[in-house]
Amino acid sequence: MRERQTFTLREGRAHLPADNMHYRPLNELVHAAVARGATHLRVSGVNGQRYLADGLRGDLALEIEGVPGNDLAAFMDGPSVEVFGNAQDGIGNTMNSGLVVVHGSAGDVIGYGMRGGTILIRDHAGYRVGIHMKEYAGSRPTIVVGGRAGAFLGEYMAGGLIVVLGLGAGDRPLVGDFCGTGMHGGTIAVRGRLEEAHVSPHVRVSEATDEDRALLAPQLEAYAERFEVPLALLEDERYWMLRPASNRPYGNKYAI
Amino acid sequence: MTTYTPLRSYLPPRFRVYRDDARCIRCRACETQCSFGAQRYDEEDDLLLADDGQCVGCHRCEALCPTRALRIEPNPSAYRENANWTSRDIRNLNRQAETGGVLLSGMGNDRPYPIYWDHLLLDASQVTNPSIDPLREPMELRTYLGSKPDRLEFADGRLATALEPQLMLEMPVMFSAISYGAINLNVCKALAMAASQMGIRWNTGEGGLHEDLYRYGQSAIVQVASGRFGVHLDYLETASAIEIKIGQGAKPGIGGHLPGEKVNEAVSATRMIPVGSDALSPAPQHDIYSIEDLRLLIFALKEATRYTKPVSVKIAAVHNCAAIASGIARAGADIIAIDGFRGGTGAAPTMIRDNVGIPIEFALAAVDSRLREEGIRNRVSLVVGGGIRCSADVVKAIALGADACYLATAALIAIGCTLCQQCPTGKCAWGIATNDPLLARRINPEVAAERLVNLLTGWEMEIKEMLGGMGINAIESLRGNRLRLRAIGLTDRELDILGVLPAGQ
Amino acid sequence: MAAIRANEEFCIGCRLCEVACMAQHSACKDLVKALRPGRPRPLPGTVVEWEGHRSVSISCRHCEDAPCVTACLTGAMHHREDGRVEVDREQCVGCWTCVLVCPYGAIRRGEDGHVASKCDFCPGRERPACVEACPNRALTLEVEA
Repeated sequence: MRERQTFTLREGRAHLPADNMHYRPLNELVHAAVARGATHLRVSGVNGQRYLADGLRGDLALEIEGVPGNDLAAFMDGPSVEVFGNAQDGIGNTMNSGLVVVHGSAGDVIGYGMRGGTILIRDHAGYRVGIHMKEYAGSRPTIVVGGRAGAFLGEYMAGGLIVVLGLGAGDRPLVGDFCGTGMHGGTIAVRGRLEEAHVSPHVRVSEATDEDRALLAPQLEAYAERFEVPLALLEDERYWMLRPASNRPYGNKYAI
Repeated sequence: MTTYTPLRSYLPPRFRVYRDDARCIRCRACETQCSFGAQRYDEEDDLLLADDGQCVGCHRCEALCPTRALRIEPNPSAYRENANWTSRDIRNLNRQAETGGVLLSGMGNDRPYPIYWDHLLLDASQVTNPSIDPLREPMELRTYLGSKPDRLEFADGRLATALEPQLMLEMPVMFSAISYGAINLNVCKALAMAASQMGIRWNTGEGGLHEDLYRYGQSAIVQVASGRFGVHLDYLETASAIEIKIGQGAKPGIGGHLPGEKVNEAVSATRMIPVGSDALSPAPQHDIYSIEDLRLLIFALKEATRYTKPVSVKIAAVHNCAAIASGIARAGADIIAIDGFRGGTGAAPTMIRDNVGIPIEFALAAVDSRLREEGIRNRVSLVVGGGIRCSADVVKAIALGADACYLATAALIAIGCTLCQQCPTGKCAWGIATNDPLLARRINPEVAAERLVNLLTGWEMEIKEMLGGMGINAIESLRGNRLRLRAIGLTDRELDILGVLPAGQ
Repeated sequence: MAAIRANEEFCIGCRLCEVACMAQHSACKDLVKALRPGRPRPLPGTVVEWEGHRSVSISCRHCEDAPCVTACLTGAMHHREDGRVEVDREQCVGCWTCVLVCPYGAIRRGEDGHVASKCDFCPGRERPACVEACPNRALTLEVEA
């Protein structure tokens, strides 16, 4: 059993070297720093440790150098987490508010049941992104994927916004099969080209209107600024808006 | 252009309303109380008239009629006797022919499958092992749910082993998950009040926790289901335990669906979905596609709540639940809740409700045996539900290996439910399975809580009597003690699976 | 002095309070016999009022400073020794001033056209009949501690 690590807190900032620690003591360190008033934490040498930033609240900025393990920022409520590297599965699971930025690609099941806050992914994301996102009374979750997203994007979506930009997608489709299955709320926006074969019959597709573009503008600006990409590159393209065909997709199913 | 009228039903009414006119005082209570439109007052002729076609057999009118003038009976006008094609089958076929939809039912499986609790008998002490009188001697029903360590270590006469978080119950029962939205806030309050008073727990179900119920957070188990309705940090932190819902006995393998009609302002706010839209809980939880994924969610919850609360995983009783339970125990769950095929629901497709899943008695025996064989039984507490009807069922369940029982249908019956199975309509005349403010007020939380406390108090005494009769004064001596059970009318194979000897041996 | 508390949150509009009151104040007291259709029945002392989906049973509050007692022209409306407000049937002339003046609308014109009708708090009963009959505790008896 390793000796418990300590850290120094200076003006609310601290550096925590992950140093091959198991996730449990590493997370305990993070929580201990927060309990002592940390507002900026830099965690370096991260190599697959799970559950980082889970259940964290409040005004806190967390920088993660390396590749965090699964379930980053799950149930998070408020802090901002910036990953300098790729990330794995389960980011922002049931996240309530806050910001997650990934300078790289992310894995599967991003933003499951997300309730608020923003996730920005520079490159690609995997399957099952944005499932059952929900929005209510001004709290609207957003996921922006810079590259491609895999199958089942926005499945069972009840609210929120997903934007897929397709940068570096090459010839490959921007979204995978079964996009928006069971969608009954929320919006998905795809930049450039969309193969309708991938889109579920529960979804209706329309080209973005000026109003839609106004909705997208803050997300495009946030992405452009964070990842240092020219805004014009993002704006000078058509966008396809995917919205639910009905808010009761299974309305006529039962013999009542 | 030809327009068509909707298909006409060929079905006779399921129930007949008989009114003794000599006793009817025209008070019209039946008219106000029937929410299905089956009672009507004719002013001109000063008569109460019934529309049998609307009657669903909930007996609300009959219960409230001050002169007992009403009698609700199954419609005696019967089809020709046919053991293969019963009236139920004929009704179902007709309804599907009329609507083209999926048959939907409320509450649990009502088919005549065998009830194994009724094949199990309890022991009593005589001569060699004196029985204990619970009125004279203290009986310990207190139960701790949670992961127990492999061994205990002591230092200086004190416990040195750190224990995982435990739930302390004053008796081995809890109220099972019933979601806010499927039932209304008054019922939730009653369950919460009764659970607090009796020192047990109630389960929020997947509807989230209404802000008026946060004061009962200490006695709540909050559920994290596939829809993640109402799940945020306050919700997790206020509870005494968190339950991940993988499935439920009434509808194993499929998801949940709260119809838009039942999503009013308050339900919408608690679940965080727009008013009037369906609340869909997909099957499966789309972030859990393997046992490893389940472990991830268990630990994400433990990390988020800093390992201060037990995490429970609820599954439906299905064919291979022993293997599944073993996986769940190894995935880090503290409690496994198993819901048998008699489990209730606000709405489930009839075919699934009546034909999918297995009896809880077998699931319990199989899971308990398997975990013991693998030497990991101590890692989890087992809570079982799905048609627990009386205190004898509870005692038998504990003898078969359960740590505690989950009650839901029994609790709702205690506060007025008559199992008319109309829950999906949202018109429950007893004010239980409805959010209509006109109907929901029929449940006064204080009245309902008093009834629930009465029920549990009666059961508590009965459990003590049965234990005392066996010469046992602490519930933990009964747990998994299958030798205190004997079976009647079961095959050798069934005896084997249940691990119980036949009566006489 | 004990009082009936009407809780509008849990009134289910069944009007069993009215039925119980009428039976209690009829000659034979048997529910079926007393309230047989066609037979004259007393007016109930408590009446269920509705607004939308909400209802509540309203009866005389037996006010200490009862406006009806003050307004009564003949002195028929008076406080009994036990503090309850009661109508002296002999003295009442049916002017209905009390009906107008009651802020709760708890007094009605008697069906005979002569005497004001209202709750008498069921003299002789441990608990008023309406309170006993209410199936949902929307009517409760508040007693002094």
